[in-house]
Amino acid sequence: MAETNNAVLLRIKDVSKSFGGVHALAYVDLEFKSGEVHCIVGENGAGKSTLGKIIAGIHTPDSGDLVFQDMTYKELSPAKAKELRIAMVMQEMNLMPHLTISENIFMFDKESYKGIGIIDRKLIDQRSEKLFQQFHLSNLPPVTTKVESLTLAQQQIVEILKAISHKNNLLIFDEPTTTLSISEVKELFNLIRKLKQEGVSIVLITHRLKEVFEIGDVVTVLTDGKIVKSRVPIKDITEKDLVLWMVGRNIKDFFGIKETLEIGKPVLEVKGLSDGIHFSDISFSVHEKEIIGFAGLVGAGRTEIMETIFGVRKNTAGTIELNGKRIDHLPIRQRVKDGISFVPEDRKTKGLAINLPVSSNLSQVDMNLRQGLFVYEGQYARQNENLVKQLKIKLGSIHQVVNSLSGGNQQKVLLSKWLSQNPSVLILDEPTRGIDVGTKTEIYELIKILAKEGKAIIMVSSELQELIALCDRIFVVNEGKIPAVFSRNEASEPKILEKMIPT
Amino acid sequence: MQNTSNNHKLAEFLRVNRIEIGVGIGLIILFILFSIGSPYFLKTRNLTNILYQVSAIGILAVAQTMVILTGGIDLSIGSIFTLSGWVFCYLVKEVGFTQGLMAGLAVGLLCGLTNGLLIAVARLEPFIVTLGTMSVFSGIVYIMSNSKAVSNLPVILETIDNYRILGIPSYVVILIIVFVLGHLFLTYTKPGRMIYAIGSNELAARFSGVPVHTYKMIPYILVGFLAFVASFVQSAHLMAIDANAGTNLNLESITAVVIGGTSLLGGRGTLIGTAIGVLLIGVLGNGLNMMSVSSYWQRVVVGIILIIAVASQKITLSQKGKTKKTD
Repeated sequence: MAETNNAVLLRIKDVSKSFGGVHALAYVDLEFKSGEVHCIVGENGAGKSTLGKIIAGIHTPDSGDLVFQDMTYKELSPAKAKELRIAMVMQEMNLMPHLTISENIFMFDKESYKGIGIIDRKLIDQRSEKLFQQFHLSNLPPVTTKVESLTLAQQQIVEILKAISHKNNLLIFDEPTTTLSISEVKELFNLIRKLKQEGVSIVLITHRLKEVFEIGDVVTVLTDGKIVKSRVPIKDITEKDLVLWMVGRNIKDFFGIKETLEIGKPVLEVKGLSDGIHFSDISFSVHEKEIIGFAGLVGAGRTEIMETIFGVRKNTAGTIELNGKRIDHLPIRQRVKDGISFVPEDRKTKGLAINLPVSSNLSQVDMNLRQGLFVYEGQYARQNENLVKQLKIKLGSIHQVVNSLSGGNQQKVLLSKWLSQNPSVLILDEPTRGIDVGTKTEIYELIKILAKEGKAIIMVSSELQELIALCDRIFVVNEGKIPAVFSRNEASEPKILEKMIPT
Repeated sequence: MQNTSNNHKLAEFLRVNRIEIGVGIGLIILFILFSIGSPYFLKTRNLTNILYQVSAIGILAVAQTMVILTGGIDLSIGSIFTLSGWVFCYLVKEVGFTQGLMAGLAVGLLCGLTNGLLIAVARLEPFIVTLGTMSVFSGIVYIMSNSKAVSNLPVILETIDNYRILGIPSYVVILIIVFVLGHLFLTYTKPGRMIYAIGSNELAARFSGVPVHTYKMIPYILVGFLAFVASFVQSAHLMAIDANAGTNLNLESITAVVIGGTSLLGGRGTLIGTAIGVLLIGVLGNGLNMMSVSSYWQRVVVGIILIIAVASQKITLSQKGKTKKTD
């Protein structure tokens, strides 16, 4: 393939970057060539997005150089990256919801303005329509539609159009297909092939290995911020090789399959639950010593279901029973007292007060449930100490602010905060997102131990392998409904994926 | 071993309280400068005077700190000060001391409750709500008073003002009690700890089952209560109140809190910092007076000090972030 003849466009030399004491990237050395699709794969938290953001000038490397064509840079800024014609389609949306599609695509272009800076709507609308035609996007609403009224997938397409509206030298896609349907993915890949022919260097960050084989020329594997395999031609390898490199060992050893336990009596029973917006008619139950999993695409409604069971959101129909008692009308406080703990997906926004000490975070739930007016944080000292020990949280002092800990240790603090309640049902929403591999295995072990102790565990995860290894049953959520349930023996990645994708 | 762990504890103490310590050092420097600059500055009479000058603003700043810790703000604090104080003075003069006291207190609490309900139940932005009620409350004072001051208050107020406990003037005692109780409230009670939790991350608090909106009301109600206490102290000292009494206090209370190191984003700050901030403003005003600097220039200086204080706090905080990343 294109491995030898094309020119090196960008080389990153010895680049390192750490956040709060954790190495996101360590001494990474990598080349990117024109006219090729370079896939970057690795587990969550392997440093893929950080790498992309350093190239796009969003993050500043702690050390190392970036050599673009013949110029050496210590760091790039977003403006400098734009000048060099480097663009990135981000995982998280960077659109302005109250502006129109065409404004979002072209508002940062000089040419969109005439005279002293008056926006030329006619021009940007025309240019946007041209883009739509060019890429056969006939099913998108008119270019004057406000972005807030688009679906997530449509927004993603606008984000992509924004990046390719310029003639780019290098284009980074960070997990571009997470929210797209199969036909949209096809469209996107056609687009990428076209850009490649035009000589653009494409960097595709993904965790879907199939995509690597469908569109990639070379692949680089990252683990814990280090390069495991660099620029391997795709034609020489199989999917199995990739998985082995990513995980560094056999998958089964990595997750450590849960042993089958004698499942106890039902703890939580959900019947016909609806919230009128995100999901409807959801029914399932979870038993003592059982782990059930929820698979689905982003936006399928998994988080909304869990938040409704916990009481952050209200249900419009259906019932929730905990140990035979209806709880769907109760406030969160009461549900927690009755035995539900919920570890939310986004620890920095929903989970922890990151500017407060670890100790305050750990005692927060309990303090809130206490009767009486007076509390003293010191009275939690022993309990907190035990939690820190039990989960092996690495910290200097319990009075350290959460923000100064690594992602994995923050996640452990979040887990401990809820384990302190000794719940009968533990709901975990993406419990291993964005943490290092070592901590992941520790969390898997912990989950298994908790199940063995008799807790009922509900786990929402986007990592199918994780669900397959740990769960007794896997529920697939697709557009707010449950189209399929797999038992441990039936579950396989292709089967689950098929049910996850909207038809 | 014991020694190293003590050193560690000291280092931790210095790190956690670095902003309070920074502002404290600023206060000490001002103190030294003014005592060199004016021979009268260090006289007991003058120091007592400083404490009187900061008593009203100090009491208000305690309440304002709690509001700001939740991530909110109370712009109406000075208007509640005037409204509850005016009702109190008017009734003390026309009806009687006890009736006046009860009515003033009720008005203060009612004003605070109004703000609290609009913020916690109607879920409106604190800035907007209190901007509105600031205007409403002060408008009511002008209507009732017709812009006239209430003066020649009964002697009982003068007696209270002159009363000394162990030689300490009553207003100083009240100021200290408010600070101590406020500090204990924030540190050792459930609502106090929840105020920090909510201010630091309201969503996470909600996800912990904290009834966020109930707790958010408390600081606004305390504003109502303490605004009346402050007004009581000041009108007892001046033996009068007029419709403009609290106009500047709306913003001055915020200035004192911010200089004391409380973050306007919520979740960070202590009443110890606020106490130092209040004293700093008091000492500055008094010292500049002694050195015959006009009050117009004093405003300029206070503004500059505010910006310097916040800028240096920001630098201290971000430096700490940097060292954390490299280790």
